Amino acid sequence: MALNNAPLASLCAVVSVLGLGAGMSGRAALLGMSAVALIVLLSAIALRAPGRPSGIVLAAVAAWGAVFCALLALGFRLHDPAGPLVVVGGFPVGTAMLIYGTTPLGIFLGVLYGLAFDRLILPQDRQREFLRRFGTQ
Amino acid sequence: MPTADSQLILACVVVYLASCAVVGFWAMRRTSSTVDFFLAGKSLGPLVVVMATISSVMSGFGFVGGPGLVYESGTSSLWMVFVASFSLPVAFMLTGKRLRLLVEVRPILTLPEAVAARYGGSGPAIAMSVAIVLGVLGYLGTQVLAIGTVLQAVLGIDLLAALAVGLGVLAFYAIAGGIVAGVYTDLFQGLLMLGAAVAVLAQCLKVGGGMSAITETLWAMDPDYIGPWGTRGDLAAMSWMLLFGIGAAGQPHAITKLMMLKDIRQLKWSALATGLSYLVLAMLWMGIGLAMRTLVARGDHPALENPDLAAPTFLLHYTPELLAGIVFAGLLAAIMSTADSFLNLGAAAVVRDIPLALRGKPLEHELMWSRIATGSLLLLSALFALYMENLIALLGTFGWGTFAAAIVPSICIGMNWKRATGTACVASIATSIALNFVLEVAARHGHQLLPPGLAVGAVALLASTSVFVWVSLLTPKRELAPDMDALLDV
Repeated sequence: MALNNAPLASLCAVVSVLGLGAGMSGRAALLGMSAVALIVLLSAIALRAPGRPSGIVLAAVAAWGAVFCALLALGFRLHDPAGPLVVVGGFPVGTAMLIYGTTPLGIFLGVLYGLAFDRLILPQDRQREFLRRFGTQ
Repeated sequence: MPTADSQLILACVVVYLASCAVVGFWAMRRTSSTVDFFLAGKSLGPLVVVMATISSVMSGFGFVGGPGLVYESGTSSLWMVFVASFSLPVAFMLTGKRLRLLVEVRPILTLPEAVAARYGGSGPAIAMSVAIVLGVLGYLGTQVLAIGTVLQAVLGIDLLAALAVGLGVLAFYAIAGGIVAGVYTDLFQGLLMLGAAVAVLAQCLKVGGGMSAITETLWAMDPDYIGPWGTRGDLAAMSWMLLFGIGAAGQPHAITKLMMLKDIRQLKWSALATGLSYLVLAMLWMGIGLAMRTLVARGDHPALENPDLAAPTFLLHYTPELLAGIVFAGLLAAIMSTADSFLNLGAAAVVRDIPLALRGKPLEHELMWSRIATGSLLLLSALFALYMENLIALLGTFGWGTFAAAIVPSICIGMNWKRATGTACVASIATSIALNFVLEVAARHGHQLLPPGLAVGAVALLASTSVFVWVSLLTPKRELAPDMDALLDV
């Protein structure tokens, strides 16, 4: 079964144009959201596999993107340079979102890759079959 | 850079240089073919690949430029490093499986060869080789200059003599041992620096009186400095998140390491381990910059003449000698490791990729020519660094963005999408080189074509991705070879 990633690739192009527009017009929050959307789309392109159910993993990546965007939005909302200093875990509250929120959240994609590796990313039977047909070394 | 007058620091650096020479000699005995020279014989275990990847990505910029950026503009540059928690795993997702399987079915050693296998024809491979050579020259020049500067400070000798010592050791292990020597010195250095980064962070917190005290001082100085975006602003922070979060998958010195794994199944947890290890190293980046700025803001230390002095100043004045010696040796190791990776990539492009694309077959005595090309590139980059510093600075800033914008579409998307075409690959690489070069040159001549803070590389990455997809959809699809067709379905 062949895999058609054209819709996701086309979405990457659309999001890239959106990101360019956001950047050129100085809209940082929109640029940040575009970056997260692009990461989600690229991950989805890489994680989809023909003949293997990848729905749960793709939903997890999409959820990751949504939470990441929410944390970015919180960062924009919570940082108030004119207001009093509110410290969370040693950092101002907006910065704490970066240090304790987005950073550990990023680790989730590495965990997901490890968990999905045997069943979705590279099942041993697929690897053996491919190397049996084409392996030279 | 302040001069180290400590015998202990000097001893650490001398021990490191001597161990490089020993590893080079050992690696020379293991290097008998171009597969050994460029891909370490595809024999590396996961720990070596993880350490080699983070060491080559971190480079001297990470240990000197990174703390300098934090000292200068606060949290802005944390968006470059903290994204490593997902950027390196995403790089594994996009490239690891297919690049590693490809080297099992074709005699491929380099990224331009992978591009040639994927798209056919000579255009995409030549375009990729040109992008790699341009990026390599810039990166190499900056690394060479950094080697000279660090050794000058540690050994207390002039720049030419420092370059002769540093490049002599580098030349020996890079020419004799190829990438084998590079990755095994990376293993040693990476493990050492992981421990040192944690120790340095603890020292930073101790010197600053704890994180809350550091925050209170910096907030009183400028709330934006310690806010989520730093003083460079939200647009810079978000464009760096984009450029470094996605662009890591386009760094050839990182993703070629994945082709060197002995067993493809070892990719499984290596992605997570790479992201986590890089995060630990990033503690050094953040800790030193914030601590040094706190000391200056409190009046405990005079303001630095140059932000890049933050790391050496902190190490020499505020850390125990042994720790400073280890970090200085690690710093030198990081620079030399990155230089070795780039020498290897550059030699491959000159000796293998361009001749293969133009003549359809590799050179005879390829290993000998690879060693000659490695030595010549090193000499050339040393001359560039000494006599054409402006060009080197330009190419150095243009390296990451060019690689990201050239390689993310053509390899990361192209290896996962059958409809991608060779014309689109060439068009996206041309877009990457042109935009990065024009926008960087314009900015250096005072013509700001982009809103303040927006990173040139981020613009080029978005543009080249868009060009790649649209041109692919508009140009005729080429039939893939059966092995490539099957590879894209695995």
